[in-house]
Amino acid sequence: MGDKPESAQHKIRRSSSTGSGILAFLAPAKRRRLHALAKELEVANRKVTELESLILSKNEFISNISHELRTPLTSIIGYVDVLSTKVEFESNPELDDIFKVLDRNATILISLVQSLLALSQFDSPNRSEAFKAVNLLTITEDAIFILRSEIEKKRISIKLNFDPEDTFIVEGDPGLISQACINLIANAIKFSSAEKNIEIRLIREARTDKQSTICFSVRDQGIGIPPDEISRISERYYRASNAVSDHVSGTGLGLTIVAKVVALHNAQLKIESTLGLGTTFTVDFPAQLSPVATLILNRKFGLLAEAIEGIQVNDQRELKAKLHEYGGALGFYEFAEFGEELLSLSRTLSDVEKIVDSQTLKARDQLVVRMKEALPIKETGEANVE
Amino acid sequence: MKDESQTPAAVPKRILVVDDNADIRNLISLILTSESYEVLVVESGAEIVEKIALFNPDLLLLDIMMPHISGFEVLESVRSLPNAQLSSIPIVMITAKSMDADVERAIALGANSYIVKPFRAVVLKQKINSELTKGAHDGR
Repeated sequence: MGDKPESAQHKIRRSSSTGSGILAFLAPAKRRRLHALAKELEVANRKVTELESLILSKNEFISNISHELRTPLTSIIGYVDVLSTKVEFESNPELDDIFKVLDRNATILISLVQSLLALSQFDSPNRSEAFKAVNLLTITEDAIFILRSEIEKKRISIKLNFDPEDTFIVEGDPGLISQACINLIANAIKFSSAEKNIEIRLIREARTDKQSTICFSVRDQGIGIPPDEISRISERYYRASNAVSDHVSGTGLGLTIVAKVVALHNAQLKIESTLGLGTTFTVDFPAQLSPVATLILNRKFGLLAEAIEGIQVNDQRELKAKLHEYGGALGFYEFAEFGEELLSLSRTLSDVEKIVDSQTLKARDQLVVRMKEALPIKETGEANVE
Repeated sequence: MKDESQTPAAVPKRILVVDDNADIRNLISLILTSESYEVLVVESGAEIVEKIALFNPDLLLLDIMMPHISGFEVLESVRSLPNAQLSSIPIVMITAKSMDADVERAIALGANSYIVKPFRAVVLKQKINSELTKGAHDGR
């Protein structure tokens, strides 16, 4: 018991050396409460780590299963292709029909396997950390090139409109953005009849807060989407009723992937459609964060740090309420209630549609690091309380 | 500019295929021989060492996931061969893992292109033809 004050002093010195030092001058009661809070944070962080590890295991499982599926599928689909070159369809129309069914379903199977793997990748924690500068124009041109055989088969005319003076760089995952662009253009081709036009546009729009938006849009002259189904069109496995009745094949996952890519990049998906006349899909990508927005975010950090240091409360419940109040007021909802909120956040991470602001997530992480640095925590993760 | 000598029918190009799965090996062989390519299939990376100089392929089609010696290791070995003509042949990787990391690693190690399983016959033909045409334009 006698060595506790000395130990506490030691810890205070240690916390000073970590950078903040302000907590060393707090009242002991307040320090104790912060220590207890830090313990909770440690427990929550351990649980988050466990959950992240589970997500990784699940992704590994899906990846392995996908690999195991792909090899036999290659044989089945490949030999169907080979057989179709060896059969005399003219003399046997029944066989022709059978091969058409095999061919259609082979295409669906390939698409399904690829979509399932793509969807599993969204569950990877911190996916947005791998973001890099992505040129939307290059991605669009590549997508058109990849789809050229479908375009040629239907004699579709594709027009790509963009301002040659402008650049179309966004921050993101090039593989996923590419997949979303391919899915949107492939859909436009799939739902258009022969010799129709598809217009792809890349334009920059200025926004009021001096941030710009890069709009990628695909306009087709296809069958359109029934108005009451537009809101459901990106649901997993959902297929528009006219797509089903017109026997247009599909997996119902293409637009789900698009919607997830859009959410991961803090972009917005807009759908305008007129039944029988065509559909326009537009994705509004935010361009890089403007200096003004960065300044506001940094100011929020400062204010929250000040708020934590100046908190006057009697118990942990009150402290949590205060943190919630301050955190909420500044938009750092995830940070406000450490324990349960962190856990729920980790679940939210696996559901990309709910991530509204990657900057807020980064802010949360940085604040957690700052909290850890500021608090005198032992190597074991336990706070040293007087 | 179209060079007639590059069409498979005119001068049969040699393609060396490495895949540990017999069904896939035979499938690729069937698809490519129907395009008049000369095809040699082997089932492991170890066989490449003895066959590559003898067969002198124009293109190597290489599976990534194989037991003992992976496609990545074979890729590195071929690219470091002392014979400049062999070490610079177009290499197309076959992968069942379309993860960005695998593709990036293959390209970084010197692969020219890749094809993801499962693939359609027409895609395989296009890919091979495109790489051989590029190789021809690069002076091969």
